[in-house]
Amino acid sequence: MNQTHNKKDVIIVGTGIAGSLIAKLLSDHVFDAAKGKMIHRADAGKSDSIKEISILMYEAGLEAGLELDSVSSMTTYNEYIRTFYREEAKVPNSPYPNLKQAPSPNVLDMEHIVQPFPDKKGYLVQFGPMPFASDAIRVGGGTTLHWLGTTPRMLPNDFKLTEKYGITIHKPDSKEKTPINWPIDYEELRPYYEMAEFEIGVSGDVSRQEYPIDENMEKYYGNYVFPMEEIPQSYMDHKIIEGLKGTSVKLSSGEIPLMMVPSPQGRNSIPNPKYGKTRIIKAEPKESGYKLVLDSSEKEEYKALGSVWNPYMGERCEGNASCVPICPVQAKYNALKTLKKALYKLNDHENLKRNPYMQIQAQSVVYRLSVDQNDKDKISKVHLRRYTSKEKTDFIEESIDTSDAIVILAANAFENPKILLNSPYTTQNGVKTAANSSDQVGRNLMDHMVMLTWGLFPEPVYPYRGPGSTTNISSFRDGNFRGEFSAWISPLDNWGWGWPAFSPGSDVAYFISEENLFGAELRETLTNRLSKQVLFHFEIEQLPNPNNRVTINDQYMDVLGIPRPVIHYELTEYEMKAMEQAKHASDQMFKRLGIKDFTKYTAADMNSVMYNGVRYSYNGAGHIVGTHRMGSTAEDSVTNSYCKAWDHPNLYIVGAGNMTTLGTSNPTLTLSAFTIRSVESILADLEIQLKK
Amino acid sequence: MNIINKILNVDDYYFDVFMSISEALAGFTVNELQSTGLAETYYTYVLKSLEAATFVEFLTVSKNILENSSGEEELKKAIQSEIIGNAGMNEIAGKVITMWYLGTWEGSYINDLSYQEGLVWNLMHSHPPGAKQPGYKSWNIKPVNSNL
Amino acid sequence: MRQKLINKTAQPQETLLTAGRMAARSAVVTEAVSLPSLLFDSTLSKEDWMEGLKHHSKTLTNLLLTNQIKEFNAYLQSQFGSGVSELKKGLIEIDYKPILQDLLQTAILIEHSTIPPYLTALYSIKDGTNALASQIIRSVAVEEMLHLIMVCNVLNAIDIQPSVNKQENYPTYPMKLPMNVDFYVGLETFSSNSIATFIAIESPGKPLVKAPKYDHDTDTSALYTQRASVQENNFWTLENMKGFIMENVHTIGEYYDVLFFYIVIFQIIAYYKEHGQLPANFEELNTGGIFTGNPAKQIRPEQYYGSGGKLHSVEALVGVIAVFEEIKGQGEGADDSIFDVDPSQFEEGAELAHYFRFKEVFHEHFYLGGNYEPFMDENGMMPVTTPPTGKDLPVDWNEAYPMKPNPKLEDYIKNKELYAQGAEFNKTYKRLLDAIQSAVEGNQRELEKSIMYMYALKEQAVNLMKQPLDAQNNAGPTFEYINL
Repeated sequence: MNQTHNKKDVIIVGTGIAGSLIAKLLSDHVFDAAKGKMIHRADAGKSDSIKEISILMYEAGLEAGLELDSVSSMTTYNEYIRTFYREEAKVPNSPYPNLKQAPSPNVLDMEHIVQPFPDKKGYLVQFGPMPFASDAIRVGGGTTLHWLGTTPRMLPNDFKLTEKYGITIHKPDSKEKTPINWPIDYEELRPYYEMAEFEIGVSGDVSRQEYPIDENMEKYYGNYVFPMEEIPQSYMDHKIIEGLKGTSVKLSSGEIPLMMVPSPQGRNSIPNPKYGKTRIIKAEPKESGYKLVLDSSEKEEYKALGSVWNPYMGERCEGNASCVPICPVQAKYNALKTLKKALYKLNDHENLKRNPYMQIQAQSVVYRLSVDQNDKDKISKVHLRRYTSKEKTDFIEESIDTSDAIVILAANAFENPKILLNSPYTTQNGVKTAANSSDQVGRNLMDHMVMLTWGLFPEPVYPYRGPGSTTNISSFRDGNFRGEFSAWISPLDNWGWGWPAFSPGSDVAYFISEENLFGAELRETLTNRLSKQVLFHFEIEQLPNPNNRVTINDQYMDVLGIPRPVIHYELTEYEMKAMEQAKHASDQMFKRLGIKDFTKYTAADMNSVMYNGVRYSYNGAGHIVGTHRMGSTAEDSVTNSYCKAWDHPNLYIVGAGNMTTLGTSNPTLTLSAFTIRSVESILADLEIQLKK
Repeated sequence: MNIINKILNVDDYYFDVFMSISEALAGFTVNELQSTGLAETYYTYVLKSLEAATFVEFLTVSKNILENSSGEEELKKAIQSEIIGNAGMNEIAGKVITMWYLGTWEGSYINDLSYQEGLVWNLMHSHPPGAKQPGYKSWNIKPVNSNL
Repeated sequence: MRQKLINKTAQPQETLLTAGRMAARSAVVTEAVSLPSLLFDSTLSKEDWMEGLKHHSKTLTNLLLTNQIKEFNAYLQSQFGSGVSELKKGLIEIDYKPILQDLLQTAILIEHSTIPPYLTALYSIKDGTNALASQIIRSVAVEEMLHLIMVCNVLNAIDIQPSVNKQENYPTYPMKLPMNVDFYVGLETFSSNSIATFIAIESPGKPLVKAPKYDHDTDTSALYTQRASVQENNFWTLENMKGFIMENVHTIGEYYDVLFFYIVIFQIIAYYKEHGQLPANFEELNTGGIFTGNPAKQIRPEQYYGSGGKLHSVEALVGVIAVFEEIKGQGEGADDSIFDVDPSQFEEGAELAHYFRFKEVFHEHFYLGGNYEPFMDENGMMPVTTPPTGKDLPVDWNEAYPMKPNPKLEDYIKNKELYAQGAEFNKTYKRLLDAIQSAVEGNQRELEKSIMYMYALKEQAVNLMKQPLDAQNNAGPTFEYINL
C-alpha cells in the first residue's frame, strides 16, 4: 500500500470539464492567512502570509494525454488524429485510446437485449429493456475531446417541470410521487452561465436568439453579448430557413410557429468587439462565504484561445467538419485548455511556468472512498489502482488520506455513482454506501433521445461541411405540451446522412453493387445524391425515472477488479409520444421544403420503440445525466445546489450527474455553470480548513 | 486506338492499364487519380490482395478493352459487357472503384493516407472530415473551388 | 487568458546622449550635415547628401522605432530649433505620392515575394511528417501575410490605393529582393537549402541582439550646414532614394528603416507646407500631414488571426511606427532584445522571431535547453548567428515531395491535364489576390474569401506536387499571373 505524504488540500477525481474548471478556479486563488480569507492571486501581493492551495488530480486515462507542454501535447493529439484517420467506424471514441484498465462506454458495444440476459459486450452491463445509447471517454480532458460543442443554456421552465407542468415521478421503489424541481432556478444560474461561456469561449449572437419562453430575450440574457461573434450559419441552413421562415407546424397540442436560430457554440470565431476586455473569475468575500464574479478590469482585449500546443493554431474554426470525434486544430473547446491554465501560471516575466502546487497523477483509477464515522462521516481515504502502462494490466494499490482535505468526484455520471456505490460503511442502521442516504445515487439516469430524419433536398445544399450544426429550430423546447410529452430541440445537421445511414460509404456501395454504375455516370449520380443530403435531428428530453439507474454487481468487474456499471434503462410514453409528434413535425417540414424522405426505422435498429403501431428509432446524444442529482433536501437528493454531498462534510460530487432534469440543451454548458458556482462553497470550506 | 496513358517513372505496362481502367471505372482522369499520391500504393496493394491469376485476368480484359476501343462510347459499352456483365470482373471493378472513392479495400483503410485521399469527397465538393479543411466561413457559401 | 507573446526583459534605464550633450561635443571633425541641410540645402554634394541620409535615417529611425519620443523631441529640437534659413521650393512642391507609392509597393512586393516560397516549402512536406517544422513555416507564412496587409494599411492611410493583384505585382522566381543582397529567393521543396534561404531573408540587421536606446556606433558630432558645392541640387528624387537603398540596405528590416525615414521626411515637409514652420516635437509631427486617407479602408485587428502578430490600423505617423515595429519585431527580433539568453524565457508562450525559428529547423535543435555561456559577452549578449544547442527538433528532410525548383506553367505544356491543373492553381491564386485587393479597396469582408482561397490553394498545390514531371522531379505550383 502506497501512501502519499505531501499534504493536499483538495483531491479531484477526473480531469474532464468539471474537474478542470474547479482546478483552475481554485488554483487562481490563494489563502491570505493574515486576513483569514481566500483571495484571487492577482490581488495577492508577495507576502509570507500567503498560502497556496495544494491540489492533486487523479485521471484514469493515460499519462501522455495529460502532458500539456507544447511539444508533447501536439504529438499526443496528432496521434489521436492519425488514429481517427485509420479507424473504420468513426464513432465518437474512435481517436482515443481504448483502455482495458479504464474502459469507456462505446456505442459499438451495444447489442439488442434479450431479457433477462444482459448485454455484457464492452464496458457497460446492460439489463435494459432498452440499451443505454450514449458513450463517454476516459482520457485527459474527458468527453469534451469528442463533444460537438453546442452550448445552449437551459430554459427557465426546465428547472421547474413540476411547478409548471405538474410532472412528478415516483420515489425509489414506492408508489409515492415526488416533485422534480431544481433547488436553484435559471435566474440564479445566469451569472454562472456567463462565466462558463467566457471560460469555454462561446460564439453566438444574443440578438438573434429566440426561444418559446414566457420571458423576453432582454430578461433572459440581460445586457450581455457572447465573447465571440456567431459561427456563420451553413449554406444548407440558409436554404432551409428560406423555405420554413414564417411558417408553423401542427402538433397534437396545436400550431407551433417555427423559429430557426443560429446555435451558440464553444468554437472559436471572431472576438466580439462589444465584449471588450478579457475577464477573470474572481471570488469576493461575503458576510459568510464567497461570491464569484466575472471581473472585467483586465487591460487586454478578449482573444480566442487556440490549441494547447500553440495558442495561434485554432483561433478560428477552419471547417474540418469532424468536431465529433476530434477537432484537429482545437478551435473547438476542450477541457485541456482549462486544465492547462491550472497547470501553468504566469511568472514575473509573463512566461508560463509549471504550477508546483498542482499535481496530476494519471493512469490512476479511483474505485472507493472510506468513511470515518468517528469523524463526522468525513471521507477519510480515497482508494485507487494505478496501472503502469497501456499494455499491462498489473497495478499498484494506493490510497490517500483525505480527512483534512476536500474530495471532489468529477469522473462523469457513470463513474461517480460507481465509486459511491462501491464505498460501503457500517452504521447503527446497517450498511450504507457513501452519499446515499437518499437512495438516489445511480438513479435517474437520463439521456436525450436523438431521433433523426433524413432526405434529399430539391437542389444541392453541399453538406459535409462546417461544424456539425450551426442552426437549430427552438420552437419545441418549451410549451404547454410538456404536460403530455417531451420537449425537444431540433438542430439542423450539416453532415449529410453520415450518422443514420453511414453515408457517403453506404451510397458508394449502393450505387456500385445495386445499380452497377461506373465511370462518369457513377460520379454524377453520387454528386447529385450526396450534395442534396439533409439531416433533421430531434433531441428529445427524457424525464428522470428512479428505475433508470446505474448500479454495481460483483459479478461484473473490469480487469483491475473494479465494478463495471450495471444499467437498467427504459423509455416511457412521455418520450415515445414526443417521437410521434416529432415525426409529424418532420413530415410537415419535409413536405413544405420539397424534401424527398428517406427516413427508415427498422427492427434491426439498436434503439427502437413501437408506439401506436408505428416504429421510431433513435440514437444516444452522448449525454449521461442525473445519477447524483442535486436537490433541496437530503431525503430526495445526493447533493445540495453547490454539489456538496449531504452526507459527508468534505465531499463534492460534480458533473452532469447533478442535473435534476435534462431539459433540451446539451448538458455541458449547464454543468459548467453550476460547477463554477460550487467553487463558492469549496472556497468557504477551504477557508475553514486552512485556518486550522 | 490505344488510349492507355504512359505513366511517368513507373516501368510497368500493366500499371498503365490499371490507371487507365481506373479512370474509366471511377470517372476521374488519370491526372486526378495521380493527385492522390497513392496510385502506385494502390496498385501494389491490389496485387497483394487478389489472387495473381485473378488480377492478371482483370488487367488483361481491361487491356483488351482499352486497346480496342476507339472512343468513349465504345469503351463504355465494352466495360458494360465484359466487366460489369461478368460476375467475377464486376466484383473486382467494384472493389477498385471503392478503393479510389473511399481509400478502403474490403472495409479497411489501405494505409495511413488513404482516408484523406478518398475521391468521394472531391466529387461532392467537400473534403474528408478532419482533413483538407477549407477554412473559416467556407461552409456559409457554395464551395469555392467547384465549378458552380 | 491569452499567452503573452514576447518577453521584454526589464532593461536598466540607460542614460542617453541628450541633445545638450550632443551640442556640447566640439565640432572639430564634422562628418554629417544637419537635417534641415539635408532637406533644404540645394548646394549639397551628392556624397554629403548620402552621408547625411545614412546618418539621419539611422538616428531618427532608431529613436522612433523604439518609442523614444522624448529623445526624438530632443533630437528634433537640436536639428530644427534654430529654424531654417534656406527654403527649397522644389522640395516643398515635391509630389510625395508617386515616390511613396513606389517605395511602399516595393515593400508589398518584398512581403509578397516571400509568401509563395514559404507556402511551397510548407506544402511540400508530406502529410503526417515534420510536424514541428511545418508549424514554424506555417506561422511565418501567416505573419508575412499580416505584414502585407499592414503595408496596404499604410498606403491607404496616405490615400494611395494599394495594388496586389496586377501582373506587375507578381514576384517572379527566382528573384533577388530589391536591395543589396546576393541570394535568390525561389520556389523550392522543403530542404536544408530552402530553409537556409529563409534564414537569409529574415536575417537581422544587427550582429548582436541588443537594446540600444541610442545608436552608440553612429557618430554624434555636432551638426552644421555645409557648403561644399556650388551646384543647385535636389537629390530627393525616386531614383536617388532608391539608389541609396540598393547601395546601403542589406536586410528587409533595414529597408523598412529607410522607408520609414522617407515617410517621416515627407511628413515633415507636409507639416511645413501646412503650418509654415517645421514641427517642434513628435505630437506635431503626428497630426495631419500626408495621412489623408479614408479610415474606412483600414483593415482592422479583429480580422487577423493565426499567429502571434498584431494587426495595426494606420491613421497617423504613430500607426506607421506600430506597423513597422511589428514587422521588424516579427522578422528579426526587435531591438528591445526578444532574444534573451536566459533559457527560462523560452518556456511556453515565448515566441521567437522567424530568423531564430528557421535556425532551429535548420540545425534540428531548439534553443530551449542549450547552454550559450561560451558565446555570451559581458552584457549577456550573443551573436545572432549562434546556433541552437537545446532539445532535439526532429526533422526528416526526405519526407518532402521532389518538386522541380521554380517550375513554370510552360513546363507542363506536354501534359494537357497537368497544364490545366497548374493553370487552375494559378487561377485560385489570382482569386485570392483579387479578394485581398477588394478588401484593401474598402470591402474588408472580402478578406474572409481570401482565407477560403488560401485553404483551397493548399490542396491544389499538394496535388500538383504529387504529379511526376520527369525522371527526377515532380510538378508543383507556379504562382504565375493568369487571367481568369
